[in-house]
Amino acid sequence: MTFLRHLFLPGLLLGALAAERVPDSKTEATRLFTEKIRPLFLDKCAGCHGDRAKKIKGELDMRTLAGLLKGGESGDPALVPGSPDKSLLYLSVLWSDPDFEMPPKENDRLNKQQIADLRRWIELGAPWVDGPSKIAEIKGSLGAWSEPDSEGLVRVKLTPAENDTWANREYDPANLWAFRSPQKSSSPPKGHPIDSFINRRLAKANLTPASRASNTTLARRLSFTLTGLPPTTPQLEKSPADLIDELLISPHHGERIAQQWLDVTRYADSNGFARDDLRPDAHQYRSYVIDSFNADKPFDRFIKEQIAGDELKLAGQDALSFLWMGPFEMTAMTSAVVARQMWLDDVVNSVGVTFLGQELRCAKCHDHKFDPIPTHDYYALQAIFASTKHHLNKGKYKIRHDKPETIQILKGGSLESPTGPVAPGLLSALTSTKKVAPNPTGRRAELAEWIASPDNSLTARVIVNRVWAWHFGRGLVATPNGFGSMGAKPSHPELLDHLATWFVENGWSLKKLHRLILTSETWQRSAKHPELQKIREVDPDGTLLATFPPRRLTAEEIRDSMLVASGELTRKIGGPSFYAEINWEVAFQPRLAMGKVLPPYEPDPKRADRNRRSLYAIRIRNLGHPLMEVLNRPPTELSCERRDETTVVTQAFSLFHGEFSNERALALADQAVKNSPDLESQINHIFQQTLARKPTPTEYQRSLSHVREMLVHHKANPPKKTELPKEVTLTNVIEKTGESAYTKFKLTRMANYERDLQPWQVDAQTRALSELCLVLLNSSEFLHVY
Amino acid sequence: MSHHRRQFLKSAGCGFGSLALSSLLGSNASANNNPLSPKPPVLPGKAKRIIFLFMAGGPSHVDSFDYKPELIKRDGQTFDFVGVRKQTFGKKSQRKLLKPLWDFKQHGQSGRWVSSLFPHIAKHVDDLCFIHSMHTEGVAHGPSTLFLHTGATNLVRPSMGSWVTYGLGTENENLPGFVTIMPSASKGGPRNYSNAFLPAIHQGTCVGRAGLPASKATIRNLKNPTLPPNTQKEQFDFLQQLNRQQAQTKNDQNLNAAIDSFDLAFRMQMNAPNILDLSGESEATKTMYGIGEKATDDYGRQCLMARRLAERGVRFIQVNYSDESVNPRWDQHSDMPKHEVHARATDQPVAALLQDLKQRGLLEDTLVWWGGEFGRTPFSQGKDGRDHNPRGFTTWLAGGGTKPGYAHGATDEVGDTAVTDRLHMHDLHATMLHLLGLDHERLTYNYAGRDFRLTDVAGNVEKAIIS
Repeated sequence: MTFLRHLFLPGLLLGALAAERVPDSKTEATRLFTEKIRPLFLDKCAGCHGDRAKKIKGELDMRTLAGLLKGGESGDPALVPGSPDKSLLYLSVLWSDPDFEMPPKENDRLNKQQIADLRRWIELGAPWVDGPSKIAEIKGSLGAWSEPDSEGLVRVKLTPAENDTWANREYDPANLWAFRSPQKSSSPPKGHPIDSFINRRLAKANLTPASRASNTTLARRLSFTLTGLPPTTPQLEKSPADLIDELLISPHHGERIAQQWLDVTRYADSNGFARDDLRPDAHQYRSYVIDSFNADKPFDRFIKEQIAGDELKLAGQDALSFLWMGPFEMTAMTSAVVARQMWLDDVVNSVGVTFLGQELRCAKCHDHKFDPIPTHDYYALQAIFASTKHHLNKGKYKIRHDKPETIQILKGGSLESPTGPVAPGLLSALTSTKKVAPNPTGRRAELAEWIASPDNSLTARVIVNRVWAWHFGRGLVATPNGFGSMGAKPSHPELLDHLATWFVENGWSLKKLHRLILTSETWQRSAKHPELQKIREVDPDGTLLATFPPRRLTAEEIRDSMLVASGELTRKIGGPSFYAEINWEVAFQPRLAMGKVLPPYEPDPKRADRNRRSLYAIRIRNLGHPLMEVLNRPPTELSCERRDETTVVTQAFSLFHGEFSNERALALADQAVKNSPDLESQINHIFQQTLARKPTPTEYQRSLSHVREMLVHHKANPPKKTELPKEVTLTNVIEKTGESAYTKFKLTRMANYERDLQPWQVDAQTRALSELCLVLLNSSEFLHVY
Repeated sequence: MSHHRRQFLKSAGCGFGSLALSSLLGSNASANNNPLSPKPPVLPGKAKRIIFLFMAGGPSHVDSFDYKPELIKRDGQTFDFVGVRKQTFGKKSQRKLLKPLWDFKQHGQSGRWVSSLFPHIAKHVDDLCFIHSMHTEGVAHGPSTLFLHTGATNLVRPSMGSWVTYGLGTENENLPGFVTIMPSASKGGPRNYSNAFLPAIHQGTCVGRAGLPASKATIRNLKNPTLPPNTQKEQFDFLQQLNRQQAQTKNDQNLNAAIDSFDLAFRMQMNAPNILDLSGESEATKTMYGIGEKATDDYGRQCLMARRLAERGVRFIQVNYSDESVNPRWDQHSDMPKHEVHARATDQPVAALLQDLKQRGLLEDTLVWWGGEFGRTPFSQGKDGRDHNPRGFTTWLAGGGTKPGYAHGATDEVGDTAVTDRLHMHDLHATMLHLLGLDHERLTYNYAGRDFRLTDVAGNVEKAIIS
């Protein structure tokens, strides 16, 4: 091991650095050394000539070039650069002199190719890549980077890699952009920095930006982007500047940003996997996140609290729940070691993805295929969590420090193949020298401080890009979770860097960042443009932002907006999860967990309780919510960087035929009838509630005729009353006997269930009006922000 | 469309985003940009679609299609077995071999052996391509079932049906490209037909669910709860008028996509129920499938629906023989004679499907895949049960370019472990994709910084089973 470390630790990159800009033969020789000769020495010679712990045999020390030049007990140099035939090292491997036959065992003898490589290396002058003095020449906070070689490629100094080939490979610096500190633009922005950078690119592309959207359009856009809810009537009248101020202090603002954050951190109220046990305390993390965003907690502190709030004495368990937000398996079928390893894998990747935009999972089994992340880093990060345990106590998770377990690098990611212990550490591509103290109670603190540092080139970029994506639907980097070489490149690198720097300079304040983005001309642009065809040709993906990119509302926004339209939304902030209405068939479907039949899902009996914002609806990992899922609510197993907006037909089915939208339509129709005396004002009322405007004369006429036509149908077809079940029987076949077992469940909550308004409780006129409501709730205008 | 372009279309994470939306059906987008529009395969493949007859629980190969005279001879003798489950892992134990409970006979020109469990399927052996050397991952139902569907035992990965529609699109825009008939909510549940990180459009659409009668199986929310179709047409027209107005003033591709999606929804609403409605089928056909008979009604209906969906160009149709029990249907740990119940429920419908596809010329380009997540042990568990066996089992394919009347590979002399021409589940996936004209190594999707495949980093196409 010692030999290994000697060869690898300083040697590696120094070798890479020494290789910069050398004549071709030298490059060849260096490459030969790092790729062939050093591995050969390690494999064939190190056992006897390179391990400090053992006595070095024959006094030949092959750990350094000096050792080889000096030679062993024979007194002759083992290596004469340029002259293989005078080098004992070479002569020995030929086995031509019985006194010098190396390696000594017949089985270990070098093959022809290896001998030829060795000869060639000596002929080329036997360059050895070593020399600790070079470390001082590595500058900046970028880790250790070589200058670009003749092809413009660079090497990166990293902690031990699995092999030299990997460690000495070259990177296109363009792929490592995120590992470099944000750069100051050569031409600083004039005026609003966002507009300045965006408009420059538009001018270059010869595109004219769209004009500013109307105040009412902006009010709707602002209200959704800052609170996830449609604007109130008075808000529609406000100027954008006033409205931004008002919305940023609304308690709904924290809910909206929390929704985005919980997508990334995979919030759920249950463990998932086979048992899917509930996590009764999970909601405290959600409330913590909402409160943090509402209080505009500096983002660096927000990071520290979630990773090491305990060690840094900044926050309690609520914030730390972040560390086990992922799905978690805890069954009799999985051993504790496996479960523990799954958690370690999960938490390391989660920290990497969430804060650094780095999928670290790839480095679990091998050095990262594309990015400068060796497997060693991956397990060094795991070692940070080695002393962090959590345990379940009366349904509550508690974090505590334990004696740290030894974290081993697992070959191929397999628990069966540990290859040696690893000390806690950070990403070596970013931290050439920084070490994590072995102190087991402060490791996470060090990690958190490092991530939340202004010097970390990834952190600020990752969060400003997320915020940008939350407001524009797409990040400046289109892959907010992936800032590696396989991710997207920034569309406006100078702007991204400017925002990252600006953000840190402005105290990591998210609210300031929201304001900066939302007050820009770029964000306030219309979705309309007179030259739309030209824009689509020049900029088909819309990355240049000549117009505002419209988006469909998210699943949660659609459900919440429908409840607002029908006047039913309960605006209660925070607290435990509620049981939302879900498709009855799914609710009463048998669910199995580890051989047991689970009781059916029962929604909250009180209407006000289940009409809360979707953010608070309980997320049971193994129980789908068909409406939310069809509208692309992401699953909770994987971090979601961006909502999928794919239009699928089943969305139309769910929204047009599903219980939820039909019940909202009926409630809205009922409200219209109760509030407005005649059909005309009822139609106006419905338009106002759904589309926040009056119908055009054409729309009015069509609405009128639609209601009349529907009235004919509804008069002729009175609805049948249906009852909700009071109990359900779940069938289960007993394997041993082959008999069916019937488990009866009393639906205890259904006994007091306050049903939503049903068709048979209203007259035909209201039912006909509800058809109009349904159409408007399904209209593009309702379902999109533009 | 080249894979190259397909890679361009995709983006990481759950963020397929507006790219897909605008390219889905937007006015600016040509039909080629629709992620579901049919795509030419990259390889010449005979199969255009797959019907997967999923036998949940693991039917016993030594009692059905894998004839082992040695097992009969050695009935009751001890068999050295090394444990594979967690509690018994690596432990050596002696088990008692249990001969097949049903008699085997040779059938057809090809002389394939089939037990009396499957008298109807036996008539079709000359069309079947048996793989006796299957082996797979996982020992329990959950992981193995996920592996069968997604190529991974415990990770969130797209289902094979999702990969296939991603690779080939659909031939019928009025119907979903990937349909799963009466899937179970357990043993992986929705993850077995999930698109995972592929765009949502590739998710499997459920028709009914396990535990409900097939006669009631339909697509959720397909029907309007109150309005008859012609009245609802008026409602759709009204909505589309509003939407078009919006699209004109806003001039936005998203809005056009929404309009098209409602059009499609209406067309599908008009089409799908007809396809799932079997009342128009002749009595002879229904009888052939066993519809109306207590034992075969459910699976018969499912198989007939599958034929109707295949006829109309649905790309991947899964016909689940599954339920909501702790032990899935074919999982006879303690009561092997119960296999007969399951054989009776599926044998005639499956045979009818084969015959029906054949007489309609559909078997040429439809790949039929019959199998479970694993097989069962040749030795007994308890008195008359058999345990899970992922080490060796039988799956059969038919049509779609497979070699008819052929048997590939073999288990050892008692049927415990695949020994000759072993075929891993990854290999089967690779081969089936190949039959569809897809290269399993090139059918990739970039997610979270790397390219993912159905076959992970494994899988070899088995040319021997291709005709």
